Amino acid sequence: MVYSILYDATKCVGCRGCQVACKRWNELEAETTKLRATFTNPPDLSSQTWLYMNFVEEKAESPEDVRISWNFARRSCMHCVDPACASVCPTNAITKLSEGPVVIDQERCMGCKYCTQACPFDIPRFDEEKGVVFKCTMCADRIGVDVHPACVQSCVAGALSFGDKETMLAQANVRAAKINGILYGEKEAGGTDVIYILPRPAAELGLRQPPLESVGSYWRSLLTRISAIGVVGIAAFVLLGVIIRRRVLLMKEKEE
Amino acid sequence: MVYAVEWSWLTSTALFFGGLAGGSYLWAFGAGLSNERKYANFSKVGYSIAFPAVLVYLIFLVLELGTPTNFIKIRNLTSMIFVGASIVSLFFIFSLLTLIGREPTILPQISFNQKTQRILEGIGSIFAFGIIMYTALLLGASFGRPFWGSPFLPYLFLVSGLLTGWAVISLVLLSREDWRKPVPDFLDLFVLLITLLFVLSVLDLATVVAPESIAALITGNLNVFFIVGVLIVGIFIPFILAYYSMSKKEVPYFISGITFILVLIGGFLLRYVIVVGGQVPPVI
Repeated sequence: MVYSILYDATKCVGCRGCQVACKRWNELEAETTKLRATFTNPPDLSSQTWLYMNFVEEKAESPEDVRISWNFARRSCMHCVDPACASVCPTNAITKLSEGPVVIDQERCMGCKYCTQACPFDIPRFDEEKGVVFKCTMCADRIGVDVHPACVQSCVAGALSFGDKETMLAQANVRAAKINGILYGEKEAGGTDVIYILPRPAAELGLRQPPLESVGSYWRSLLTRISAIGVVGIAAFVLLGVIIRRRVLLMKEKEE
Repeated sequence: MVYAVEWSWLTSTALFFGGLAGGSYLWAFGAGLSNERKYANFSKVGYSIAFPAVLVYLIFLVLELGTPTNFIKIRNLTSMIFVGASIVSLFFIFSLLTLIGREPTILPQISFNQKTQRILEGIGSIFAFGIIMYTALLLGASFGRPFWGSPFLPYLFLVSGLLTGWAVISLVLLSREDWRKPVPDFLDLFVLLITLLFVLSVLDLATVVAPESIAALITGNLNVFFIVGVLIVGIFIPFILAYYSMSKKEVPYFISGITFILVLIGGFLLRYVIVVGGQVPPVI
């Protein structure tokens, strides 16, 4: 069975319980951060932060209204159906498990950082000290013993749910239609096993908006276009060669 | 904006030397094919550059990885890193064999007859082409970096690799005072081609998917490298100097030397702005 995490951003209260639970379960160290003009903290993913909440402030439309409304967005691995990170990994250190999680075996990782370049959601992070890459595992170790991922387990607002993908997707579609929300992850990068319901377009919430095609179709399309340019280029060079050769012959004839 | 640049100057330098190795080998092979006697010296220098250049390429790759033994972990036969490692290894072997064949003083015990040498050079030239194209495909396979997904990129790297390969061969010949007029007639064509390819790549990327990378190159933190380094120093000035050189019967050495050095600087910075520029995240 393929499992899926469903994140409903419209129910999220930004308590960061999921962020803390992720650190606790995976024994990830706390990081010293600098004060910035945002509540988002830490500012980005790292080898020690596999999940963080993005805080997006939104001022009220009326100038008299000084209240701020909040939008929250979870940033973590989307566990793609066809993961680009795994497709480029030269050591097969990244695997898509049959249950859905995309996991990295740090013992196998060679530290080439190719996965960090390939991920359309910009998720994997390189650890300079250990020389390997880390990211969210969807708590594959917990799923294996029939327990929900730590982030889902800790969510007090009911924004996170976990279950088989078909059920999660069906729930997501119903909820999105009801609140006029946007589904994120159903089609992005060919589809992911983490689905978001967003109140606004992903880019406005600090999330990447990758193409809808999968890495496989992207690569095939790129190779086709490269080949087409090559064929046109060769044809142009041959034509140019013939023209130059004819001009040289004509000039020689004139000289004679 | 917080973002990590995972591949920077180590990768850019490796890609530059990969292009230079392949480019100089292809020139040496092409020159030998067109007129073995006339270009014997040119070919010999080309082959002598290709092998050390690919060695430097490998050194920078290992430096990027940190631990040389990490290469043993490679298992995925479809990853571009495996494909590239195979091409580079084969090119390494063939460029070494070619060099030994051309320079009998290196290993006098080993010699090849002319036919074998030709076959070795022919096979080596396929891998030379492969190493240049691979450096662009390595970037192109990165689904998360739209700036590298231009189908023009491999051809841009090919033209740039040929240009830098030619420049370094000419620079060596110039230092030996072997070449009085080192700027051949086709340079203007090459510079035009590289400019055209670059503009096409940039237009393709700017209009479709990677406005943030284009912005970094034109108005952002990479604009000095791109506008001054690549466009002015690497393309515009060599283009003017090449035109000047072509109008003269004999060119002052320092002008030719400057032309070649500027082409090399431009070739390196081109890799640098593409590698680093591609990692600029979208503004969200």
